[in-house]
Amino acid sequence: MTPTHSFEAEEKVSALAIAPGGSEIAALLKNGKLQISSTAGKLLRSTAAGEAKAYAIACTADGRRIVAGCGKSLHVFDRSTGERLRSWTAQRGDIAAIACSRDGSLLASTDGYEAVKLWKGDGSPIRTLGSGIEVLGIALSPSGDRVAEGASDTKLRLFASASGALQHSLEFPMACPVLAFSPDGRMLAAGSVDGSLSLLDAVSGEAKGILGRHAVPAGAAAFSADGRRLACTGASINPWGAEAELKVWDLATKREAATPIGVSFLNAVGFAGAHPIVASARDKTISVWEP
Amino acid sequence: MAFHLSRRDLLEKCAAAGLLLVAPPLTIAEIAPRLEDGVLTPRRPTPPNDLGPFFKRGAPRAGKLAPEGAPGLPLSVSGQVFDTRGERLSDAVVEVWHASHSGVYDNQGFNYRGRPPLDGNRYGFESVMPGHYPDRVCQHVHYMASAPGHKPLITQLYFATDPVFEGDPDKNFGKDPLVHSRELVRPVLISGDPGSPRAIVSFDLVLERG
Repeated sequence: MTPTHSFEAEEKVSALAIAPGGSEIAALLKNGKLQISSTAGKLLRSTAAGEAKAYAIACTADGRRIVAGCGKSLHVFDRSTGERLRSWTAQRGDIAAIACSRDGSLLASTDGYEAVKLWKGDGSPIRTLGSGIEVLGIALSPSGDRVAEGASDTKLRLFASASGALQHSLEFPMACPVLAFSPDGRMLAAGSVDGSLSLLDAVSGEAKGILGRHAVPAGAAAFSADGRRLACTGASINPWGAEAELKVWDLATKREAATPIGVSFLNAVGFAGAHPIVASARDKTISVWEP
Repeated sequence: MAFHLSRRDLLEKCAAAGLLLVAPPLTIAEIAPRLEDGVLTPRRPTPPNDLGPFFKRGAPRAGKLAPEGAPGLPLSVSGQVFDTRGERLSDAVVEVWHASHSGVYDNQGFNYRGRPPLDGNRYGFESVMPGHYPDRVCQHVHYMASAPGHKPLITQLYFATDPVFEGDPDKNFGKDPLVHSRELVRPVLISGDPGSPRAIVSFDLVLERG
């Protein structure tokens, strides 16, 4: 499907996020900048973010903050002004994934090899937790009380933030790098390298089954703000492999709608109300679908 | 412990000094290799390497990993499984997985994935040379090996013929940031008919006790 919008960033894109509300796209560029655009491509704000090796970006669910992992450091930005509020060295290696609580008062980061690190939003360290086994993806519950970790050993682990204690460990056929908590924190969506998207009870750890399946590894997932819909993209990592799709499920009826988005490795997903949005980046080009 | 004389030289010297008698029809040349049968040769553990995101549980016992007619250079890999004391581990389990010739992992099925059965402590599998894919610099085969009483080994095999190494893996093995050890880059023998060459690689696995 042809994208709704397509525009060029000033440099190659290395990480993407869709801000809550679905009106803005936040992109980390390989020239070390954070660029915030409208979904139609109008440049709204641009600020120096840090190193060019910037692979992780997230927006807090309350819409107020953008958190970026650039090299070994975490940076927190005011989303409305683009102003960098604070930065600190977070990991030994380049940050591979980050997660935020709803208001950004709790943050989590990983470089993929060290144990996951929990931080207060002001940069104070809280603890390390996690398996320390090649972590591929992390998520923080909206309240910040739980951390979900998807590792290369195909296990999805849930930890209590306050104590660091392992609460649940589930084994999947393949690793689940894509993790998203529902807005009420009760459900966890887990997108796997084998393309499946599973739902779990985030409190009991009970698996609720596979919601659907992509032909390529899962790329990004997000719940709508009212928790009634779930969107997940595939990530086609090889131009010779299958193409990616955006899939959206109504969680009450389990009805699925799919939109092809082509060869798309780097992508982000969000909602504008009940409407899904997916953004995909290839080199400098950002494409946005609003099916 | 290193000795100064080869086994054959030692035997010949002892025989010359009257300290060794070899009854015909045996000769010193024949018995020299068998002098230390039963004596273990300590080995360095195989360097570990990343597990990576494409490990899939449930791979079948299989020695042929590529589907019939799969494109790519036919590949045969074999080796022995030892521990660091030199013990042959015939109860080891070896699992391998890799991308296709075009650099695509089969994440929906089990092509290019398998647990080759062991013959004694020797494993072997046939497949095709994996291709390059975005996000990894080098062609590689993933390995997971385990044996009772030993630490599991997770590692990867790389190929000295990979164009990334530009013919000099000693100098260029670090071009892939995940390749930490030159030992994991193995020489490749090309054998067979001109119209149907095959790549043959030997890769022993040495597990640590624990």
